[in-house]
Amino acid sequence: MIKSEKFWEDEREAPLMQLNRHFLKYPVDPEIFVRTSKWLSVLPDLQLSTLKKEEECQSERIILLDAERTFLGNVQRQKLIKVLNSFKNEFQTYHQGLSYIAGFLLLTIEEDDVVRILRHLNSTNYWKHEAVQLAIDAYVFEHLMNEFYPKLNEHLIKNRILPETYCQKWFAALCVNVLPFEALFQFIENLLFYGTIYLFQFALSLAKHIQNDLLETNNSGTIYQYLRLDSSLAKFRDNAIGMAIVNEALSYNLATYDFEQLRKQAYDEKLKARMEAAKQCHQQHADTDTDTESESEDEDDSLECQLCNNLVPDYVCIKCNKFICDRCSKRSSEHTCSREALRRLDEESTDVNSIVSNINKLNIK
Amino acid sequence: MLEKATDRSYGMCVGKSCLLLQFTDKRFQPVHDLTIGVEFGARMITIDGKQIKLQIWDTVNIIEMSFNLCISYYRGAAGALLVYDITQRHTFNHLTSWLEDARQHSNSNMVIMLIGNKCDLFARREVQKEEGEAFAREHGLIFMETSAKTAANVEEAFINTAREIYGKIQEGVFDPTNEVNGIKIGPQHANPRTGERPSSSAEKGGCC
Repeated sequence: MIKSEKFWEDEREAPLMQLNRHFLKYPVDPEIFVRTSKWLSVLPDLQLSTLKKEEECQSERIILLDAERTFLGNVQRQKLIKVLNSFKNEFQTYHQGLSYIAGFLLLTIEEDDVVRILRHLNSTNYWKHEAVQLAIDAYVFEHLMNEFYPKLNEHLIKNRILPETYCQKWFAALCVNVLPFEALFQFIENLLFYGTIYLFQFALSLAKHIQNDLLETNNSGTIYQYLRLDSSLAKFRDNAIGMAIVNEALSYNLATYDFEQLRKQAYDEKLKARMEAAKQCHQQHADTDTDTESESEDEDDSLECQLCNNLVPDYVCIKCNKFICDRCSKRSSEHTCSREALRRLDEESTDVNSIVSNINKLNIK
Repeated sequence: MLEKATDRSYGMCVGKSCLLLQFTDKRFQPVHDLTIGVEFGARMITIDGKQIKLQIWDTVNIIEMSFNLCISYYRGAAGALLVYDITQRHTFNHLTSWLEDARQHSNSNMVIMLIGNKCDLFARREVQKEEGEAFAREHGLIFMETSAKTAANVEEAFINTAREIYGKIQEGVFDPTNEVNGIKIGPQHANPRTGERPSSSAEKGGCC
């Protein structure tokens, strides 16, 4: 995108370019394309792009809106919409952070390859409407922070600053509009080369760099400003601190941690009760909801049976990797796998791991 | 601001961020920034000659909660604006089913205002004003239709919520010395024992 002069005319003031800080400029140094083309080397070979012609036509309202919130020029918006539609069509899910991420990647990478990168990054399973995995990892981070920086963790808890609120910008939106471009390129590069564990290393490094500032304030607004590296704060006006956070992140050795175990623990301790209560609350109203379903067909609920697309799922099938309601599980015309492959979704914690990893499998194709 | 995102689909689009921007900056920006995690707004208002700083949270929650959990989760909030879009029927349906369960079991003092936003788009109206009013009456909520675009009732929505919170402080329902209620007495407060509250700040947490 950035090769054309028109791009710079259109997008100089675009929301996405706010933190460029002259890192990219026209005429573009071709070195940046060499650099980002290396990112593709981490992708599995057999991934074919799924960009189709028709993905330019039918778009959800939210995708159109988010494209407007990312780019100013129509050419750039249309490219972004195409990529986002492709992602949405493939995974049947969408997250607003994707718009910034895809937009950022499109600056230096062709559409087909952006789709491939997004598909690869989607193994985190964060980009869901009901992003359980994102919440789990936010609490895994909280656990790590408590080991590395216990005073800071205590301070945030005391001020009721919850990890699942502030981790969204780092984990789900991958620091686009958090880090200045110079650091952002390095962040994405490290994430692709070192995998999801880098997100935790980064978050710890960030915590270290803002720890003293955070400990000095009890104002939740100010705390959130630091957590998002808000450029209105003097500390973040230049690029140095972003680069320091990104680079020093690699010095955290997290290899000794059993993330599977940490995730299970985070789910059990922080999320399970909450999700069950919410599920119960919604189930009670399932009947009233179905009455009005015809009026709200565009409503999409990531937690519904994937066979009838209607009822709340009771099981996940470890064979076909689908969420299935009790009714469909009993109909062999609907669900052909054997019953042994079914795992109850609200079963005791022993099965949380398999549920989590199954949810993961759904998205790693 | 505790805002129940009423739309369970990918994007909320009921106008929460636009309402907040209209209140804090007095402008309408149809294309605002993406809301990821928590965004903040703050504004000083005056009620009964007292300066009050409202701190408003605009949030995107990543996992659904029941109302009761929401309340305890955002226990730092004194009030909440629950917003639906009058041109999208399902945003109202979802919100009301969620809240119905809530009020039966909740003994929270949190001030809740139900907002039907986008009332400038009357030609595309799917939810009648009377429905919103009836629901609010039944569940003891304050109700208002607003337009973040024309600014209609936006001031009133936030200020009435604040006024209601202020009333509860005066009645002794909220203890302003306990920050858990989301209320803080300002720094110029001379003597905490006199009961005088020259300034307080109502913090409103976001939700779901």
